[in-house]
Amino acid sequence: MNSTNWMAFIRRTGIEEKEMKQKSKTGVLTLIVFWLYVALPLLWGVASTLKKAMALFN
Amino acid sequence: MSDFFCKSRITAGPGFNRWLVPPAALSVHLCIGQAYAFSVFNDPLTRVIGISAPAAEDWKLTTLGWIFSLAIVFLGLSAAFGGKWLEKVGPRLTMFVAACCFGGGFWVAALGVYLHQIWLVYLGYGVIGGIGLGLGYVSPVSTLIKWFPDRRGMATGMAIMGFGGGAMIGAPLSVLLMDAFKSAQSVGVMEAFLLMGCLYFVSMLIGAMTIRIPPADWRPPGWTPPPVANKMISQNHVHIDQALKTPQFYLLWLVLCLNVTAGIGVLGQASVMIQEMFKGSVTPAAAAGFVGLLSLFNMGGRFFWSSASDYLGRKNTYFIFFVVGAGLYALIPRMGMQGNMAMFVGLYALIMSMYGGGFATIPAYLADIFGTRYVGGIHGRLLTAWSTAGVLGPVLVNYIREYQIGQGVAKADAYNATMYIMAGILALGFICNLLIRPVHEKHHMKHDEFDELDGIYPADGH
Repeated sequence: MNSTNWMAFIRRTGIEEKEMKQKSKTGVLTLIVFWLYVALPLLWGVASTLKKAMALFN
Repeated sequence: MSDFFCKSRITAGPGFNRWLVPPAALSVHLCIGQAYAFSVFNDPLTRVIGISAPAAEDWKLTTLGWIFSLAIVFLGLSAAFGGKWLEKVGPRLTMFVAACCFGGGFWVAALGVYLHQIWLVYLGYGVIGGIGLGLGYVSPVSTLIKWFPDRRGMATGMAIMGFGGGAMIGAPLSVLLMDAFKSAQSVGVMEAFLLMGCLYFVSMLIGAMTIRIPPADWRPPGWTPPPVANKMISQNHVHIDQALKTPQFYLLWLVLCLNVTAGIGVLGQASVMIQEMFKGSVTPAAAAGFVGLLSLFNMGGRFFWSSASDYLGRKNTYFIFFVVGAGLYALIPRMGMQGNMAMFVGLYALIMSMYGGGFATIPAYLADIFGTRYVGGIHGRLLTAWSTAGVLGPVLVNYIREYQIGQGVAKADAYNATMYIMAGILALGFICNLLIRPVHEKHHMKHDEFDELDGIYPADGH
């Protein structure tokens, strides 16, 4: 089987698309890590601001 | 341009989860939002030579005030001029340049502090950092809108909420670092600048690496555009340069400018205002807490109102800002006279939520009116309204207050006229919003124009 036929075979069987999907599929763990990366500093900032704001109610 | 930054390289493959894009946008906006917290450096910067107390050669507060003003001016300018470039090169390169400018700006400013050369601080934080602010602010907006066609308001609201939240991280972080680095020879600002430059550069770089643009014709799985077309949501696209020839651009410019003028004017005076209106019952520490509380509502309002605009409609959301906002401004003097501090704080917090909401809802409003293709660039140009309001609001409030006191009005009552004038400004905004209609079809781009103009290729297949 020459290379052109081989590529056509891969496309037909969907192997290429499957590999692409596996490559770019975003894992749940990645998603959690990235959200924590932005959420944790933000929560720290909000907590610091709230602490300061409590002076108004005291 | 390196292949690494090009649009084809950052086009998402199948299976990419769009919920990875908001943290990428937030990692940029949470950094650049630090600009709102720059004032924490003001006092230590007046003691760079004297250390414990200002020396004769030390910088004055009036000199330092220009750093933030320059940063905001260059934010507006770079957003206006860089927006078109952003649409051409894509968000990754724009975010990368923003990271270099914002991080690099801190390092140049650190050198300025070390050499005690104010022009280097102006150049570093004001000019270079300001360019980083503008490019960073607009870079993820159009990408988010394209990833979330079903929730445009919520998507942009998340990023722009980050800008509000950035100050909440920036302020305590700056104080923490200055405390850690201060010594008998240093107030700790230079060291804090150096480290913050590194931290922000890396964080923004992570955002630039993570961002992806959707492939052509991408739609959220299971989502189809509403069958009944909403005439206020255009299915066509208007080019950046053409948008400037439409009355809608100028009306939206005024809508943003008037909403921000009213909010920014009273935000800057909030601490003094509460202390003068409730004399004797509010300490400076409590007033600082009040400002902190307003920042929280400002940030929360960005997410809440922009998300709500997906259901209410953009135009109706701004009607709420202008009608309810004007009513609340008019009520504040009465609350002050009655000594009702709880109501005063509550009204003020609501006003600030709508001030933030105005910022966060405008990109989605632009996308509805001008289409999604060039919304990043058009948004950049519209941000000049913010720069204008940033000057207009505080000047107006200060001038009215000084005039009132000069006329013999008691300090506690000097804000009443300001509040009624702010209500009037919002009434003007209401009229501008009322006049906004869909863009005339003569401004719409033709199908064959997409490939030709500025080398910008069609990204969403229309």
